Amino acid sequence: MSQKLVVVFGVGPVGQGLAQAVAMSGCDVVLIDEAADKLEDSLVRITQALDSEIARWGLTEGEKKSILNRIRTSTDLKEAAKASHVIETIPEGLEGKRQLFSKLDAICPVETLLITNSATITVTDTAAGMKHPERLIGMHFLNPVRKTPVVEVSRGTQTSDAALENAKRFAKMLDKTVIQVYEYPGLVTTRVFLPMLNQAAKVLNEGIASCADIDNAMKLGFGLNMGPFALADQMGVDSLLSWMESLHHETNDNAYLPSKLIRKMVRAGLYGIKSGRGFYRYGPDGRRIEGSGLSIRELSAPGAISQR
Amino acid sequence: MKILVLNCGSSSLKYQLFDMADKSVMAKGLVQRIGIAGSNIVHRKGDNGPKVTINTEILDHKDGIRKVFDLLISADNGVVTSLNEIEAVGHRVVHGGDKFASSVLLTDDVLQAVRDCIVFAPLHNPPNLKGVEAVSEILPSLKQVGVFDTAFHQTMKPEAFLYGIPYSFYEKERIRRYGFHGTSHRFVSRRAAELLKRPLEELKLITIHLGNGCSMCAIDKGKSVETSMGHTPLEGLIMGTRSGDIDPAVMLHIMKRYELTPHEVDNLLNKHSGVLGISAESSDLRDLEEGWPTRSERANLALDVYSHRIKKYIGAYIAVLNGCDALVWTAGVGENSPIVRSIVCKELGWLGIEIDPVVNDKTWRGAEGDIATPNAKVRNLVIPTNEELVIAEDTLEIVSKR
Repeated sequence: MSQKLVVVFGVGPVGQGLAQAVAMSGCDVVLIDEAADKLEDSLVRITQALDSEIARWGLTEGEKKSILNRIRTSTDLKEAAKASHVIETIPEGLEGKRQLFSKLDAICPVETLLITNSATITVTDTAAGMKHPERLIGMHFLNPVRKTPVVEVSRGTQTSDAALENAKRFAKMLDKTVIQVYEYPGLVTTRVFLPMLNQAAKVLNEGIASCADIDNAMKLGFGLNMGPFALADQMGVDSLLSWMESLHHETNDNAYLPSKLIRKMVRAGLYGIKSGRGFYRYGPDGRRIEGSGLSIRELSAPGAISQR
Repeated sequence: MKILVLNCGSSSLKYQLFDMADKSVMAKGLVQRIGIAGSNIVHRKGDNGPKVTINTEILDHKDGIRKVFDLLISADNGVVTSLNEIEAVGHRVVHGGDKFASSVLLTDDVLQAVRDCIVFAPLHNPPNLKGVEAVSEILPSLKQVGVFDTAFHQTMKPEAFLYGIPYSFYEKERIRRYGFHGTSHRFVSRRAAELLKRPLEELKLITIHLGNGCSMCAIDKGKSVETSMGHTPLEGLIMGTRSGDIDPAVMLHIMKRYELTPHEVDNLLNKHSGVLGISAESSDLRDLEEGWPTRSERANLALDVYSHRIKKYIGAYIAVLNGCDALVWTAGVGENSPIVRSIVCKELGWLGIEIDPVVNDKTWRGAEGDIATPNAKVRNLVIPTNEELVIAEDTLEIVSKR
């Protein structure tokens, strides 16, 4: 047993959320990215996230201070050599991930657990070319990491039992329930959610019900925390589109053929919360504006998007 | 005869080595940031020796305890020449459920029963157990004793420990009042009998432990008959950051209104409430007492609410006991706050409680004494608590029996 030090690659919402969750579990964490300014921004956003937890009585000022003390940022990949756990949350793309892990494979001691957060690229594909592929495992954390109490753990064909046990302990430290899945693009959550969103978009496009009503029907009807559109805005409509395309390619299943509406939204820059507009509109604080659900007519009218 | 006392938390552990020949502290210290970068040991020889800080990597509890043992026999900071001089280790264990009514020798069977109590104190019992396991791995022959915060209160009767909810929760989940700070309440009640020069068996006492956590205990003939903390240490008195008693419906209302998760409600009641929540200034009564009573309206309010709750429990416990020979004040605030004691005891003359303001004001900082007026019916004792010594004494008693 050694002292834990977790290194997180990537400053997207999942990377930030993981850094925060690891620090909140009492463990030191280094957040690494090539862009120093993005690292600065992510620290600001983590601080904001902690402040909003304080406002909801979820944390104290003292706890916030010690959590922030446990988070460091760096642009130097070599910091990973000291880590007990390294997890990447860099943008989806096989080549980028392979390159990162072959570098990590070279500098990290063999005991270091290497983790990919990808849901659409398999561990086995990512591990190609590694000297020690047995210590690479998939752990798919969902955004927002802090609030989503589940992680999908997937083994590659070469992942060792020891790596699996280690990943389970890591999940336990972060208070996440482990769903162990056979390696396949999309795992469980992405595979099941994408067709639901696709159908919801079709229902909206056909004018069967309004955006907010479809969300409410699914939310109240099936006891979900959020409707599919609110969730899609949070996950990023552009990311969802690329996952659909990759799963459609992988499975040849038309359930993943992206609906016209989703393609149209991405072309128009309606990515969700991150762009201020998706299926709903959002204020600068990321809060949804009341009664702002997307109407199809609006999307079809020339110039409608740019006016907002 | 030397006894080591350990109090293991999740990332820290406190230790004290006693020489039981004269009950003196040979060495004591604190291991901090176990398993976290920047760990260290703050060690001192004797009760008040100079502090020595040793910065060293401490991987886990076992590693920490091994380093404490090394320190105790080291040339520079050590106080014994061999670990064989240590007769036994006494551990503070937070929750013994309803399985333990007294301290016990920690055998394998007993340890299993302690593990069964984890469900009652998921944050506290596991690190307590880690300490026990670590010692038995390092020095398997050393005898170990568990001293429970809950044990002293196991003499409560069902009318005092049951909640007014469906009985099946008690039967199936053992949901009931357990009470805490038992080691402290027990220690000060015995000491009170000594000070009053009367046998404990004929005394009715109300002990008031006011520290970070606060609890009161009604003690009849040396036995706990009622205490203010409940299934968890959240119930009862208002504390630094804990709410104490509250209408549970208020929490349901707030949960719905602000869409709070159970975790957030837990934090709200345990870390944002109490004196801190009311004053919005500090959780530390010493801060609120600075400049009292002109500091601020809210600081006064927090002190008043805090003190009123204690007063209310005194009345209740006098009824439960059908009388009272003495109030006993202990722990940080109880031992050191003449202000709280004076607010609580104001206008209690009808019950025979009256304190001498002059004596009250100078009885603090480790002082022991009776602050009641000479003619008051109820004695009013300030007694510094010493939980570590109780653990050491219990440990010695149990290992000597075998």
